[in-house]
Amino acid sequence: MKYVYFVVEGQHDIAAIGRILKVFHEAKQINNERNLDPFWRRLVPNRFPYKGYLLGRVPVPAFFQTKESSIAIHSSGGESDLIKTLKNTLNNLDQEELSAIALFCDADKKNAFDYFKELTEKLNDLPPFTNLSAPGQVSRTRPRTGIHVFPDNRQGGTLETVLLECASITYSDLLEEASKYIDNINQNYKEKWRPFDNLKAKVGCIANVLKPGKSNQVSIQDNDWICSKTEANPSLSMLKNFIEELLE
Amino acid sequence: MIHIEELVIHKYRNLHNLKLQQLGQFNLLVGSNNSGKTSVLEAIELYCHPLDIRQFISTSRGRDRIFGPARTPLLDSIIWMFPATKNSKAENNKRENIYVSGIHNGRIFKISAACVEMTVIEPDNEQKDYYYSANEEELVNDSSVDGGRAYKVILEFQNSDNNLKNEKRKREYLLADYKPLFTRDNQDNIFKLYSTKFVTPVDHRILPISARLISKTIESGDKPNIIKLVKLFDHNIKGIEILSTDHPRPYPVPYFNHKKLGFAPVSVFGDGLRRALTLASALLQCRNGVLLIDELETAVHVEALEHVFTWLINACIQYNIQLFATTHSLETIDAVIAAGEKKNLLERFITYRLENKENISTAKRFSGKALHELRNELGQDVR
Repeated sequence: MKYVYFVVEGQHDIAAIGRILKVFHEAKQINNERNLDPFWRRLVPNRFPYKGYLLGRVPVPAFFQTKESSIAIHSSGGESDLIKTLKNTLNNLDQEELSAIALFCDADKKNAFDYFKELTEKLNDLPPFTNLSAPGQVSRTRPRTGIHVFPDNRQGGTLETVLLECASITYSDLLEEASKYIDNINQNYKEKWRPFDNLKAKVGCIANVLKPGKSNQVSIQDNDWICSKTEANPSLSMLKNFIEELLE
Repeated sequence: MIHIEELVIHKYRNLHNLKLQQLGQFNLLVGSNNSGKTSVLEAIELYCHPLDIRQFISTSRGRDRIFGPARTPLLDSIIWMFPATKNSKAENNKRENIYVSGIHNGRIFKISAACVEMTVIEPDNEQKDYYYSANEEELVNDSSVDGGRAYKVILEFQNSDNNLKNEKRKREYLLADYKPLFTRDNQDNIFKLYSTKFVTPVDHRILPISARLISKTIESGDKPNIIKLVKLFDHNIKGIEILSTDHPRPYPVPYFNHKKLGFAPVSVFGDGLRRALTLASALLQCRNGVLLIDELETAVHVEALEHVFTWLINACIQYNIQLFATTHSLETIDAVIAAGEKKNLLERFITYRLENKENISTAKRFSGKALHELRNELGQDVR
């Protein structure tokens, strides 16, 4: 069995990568601990609450299983904890058994290469990451490693940039209406928005039409943002190929 | 204080080349059953007393505290400390040497022990009162003379400083089935690197609470500390005193002064209290040394864990003790982290998870900060 460990910034990333695994790799999500490969058992939290916060989300990774690979996708809860989550969890796992490790993050505050550079500097004590020279590249070492910066390892943006590009193919009518709505609402509502929050809002509008009352991640994992019709989109294709190379 | 900075257990029982690097003042050992946690504590005990045959025997008996005919014969206890030779079946008694090395104060210390099977002629009664050195005449290799099983145990110690000045010492002993060991060594003169005390999970049940040590505590003015500890288990305890038994030949016995019971012997109280006193006695015996506790959580209710560990940490700091403790319990790990965090001493805590894969022993190291993040932020199991 190949063990693959991904760290992402949030739940939407898990939903998108999980969707790629399900659609293009026939992966199944493991929903019951009994069916989980024992390799990952230490990653299943066994205490609550965390930091005393009763409303906190249980920081359990999402687990997926393909014929050849067992994949854990771990949300760090944000950019600032990405490295901490990766290093602590790797230290708690049998690293020799891992066949691939990857980080996924957004180019929403820095350009993709600067962010990649910053991450690799922080990872210089983790040998698998010292061989990387560019975002999106997968090292051919064991374990295979890589850092993917959304949307396409070059431009600024986030996962939502990719999703909206896909929506322009499968939900073009909804995208058009959502864009009109978001673009035309009173500017007062947008005062506290961070860069790229308008993209998140557009994804939220479409998701709420497709899955009323459900969270964006439910729509991302169930609807056709990521599917065979959108796989030719350059950003999605880059992400799909990156994952494929890690799983090889 | 960190006395032992680094330890490599090259060979001891089932441990092979286990490296414990960057040790802390407070070291927690976790791992599955049979991963070698107790063996690590034993190896540290041997390391600190490299030439002491009595300690060697005592360490071999650590897992077998019971008395009576069911007890493993001494020679068997000793033989099984030596790793079985690779590619040979354990039962043929071919054994490798014990070998442990470590660093403290920038110096490398190495200890080893060898065990050679011998045959001895049955000594006469007069000789039986003495211990037998392997160099003495009554030791022979003639298997035709049936004197019972005997083993020559060779203990060696070597240290070198940065200038590579070496010091080597060696002692040999004969241990035989037919006669328990009697040494003429003056224990006060026996060389040791550090004082140690090994607390097993059963000591509080089977060993008497030492009146002498409690007495020493009272004399040294540490009595309030002990009372503070035992009050965690029973808030009705007012004090502890050494009283004489009402017996034709009176002997000193520790008593609690209890609000409801009056003066009552320590032995009639529950496990938690006895364990607390056992720990307190152990601390006093290894001042400026190393305390080894097997199964830290034994007899302590989960709600008292953090308080007890806070007390233990304070005491270790006060008495300049380096602590090594094993545990199977996540609640214990969490309580230790909480106690360390409360005292702002997390950087002094190190946890090692022992793993054994294809006969190779490894220790995964977690700093106090990393352990805190793994448990409190990621909720992960580290055992």
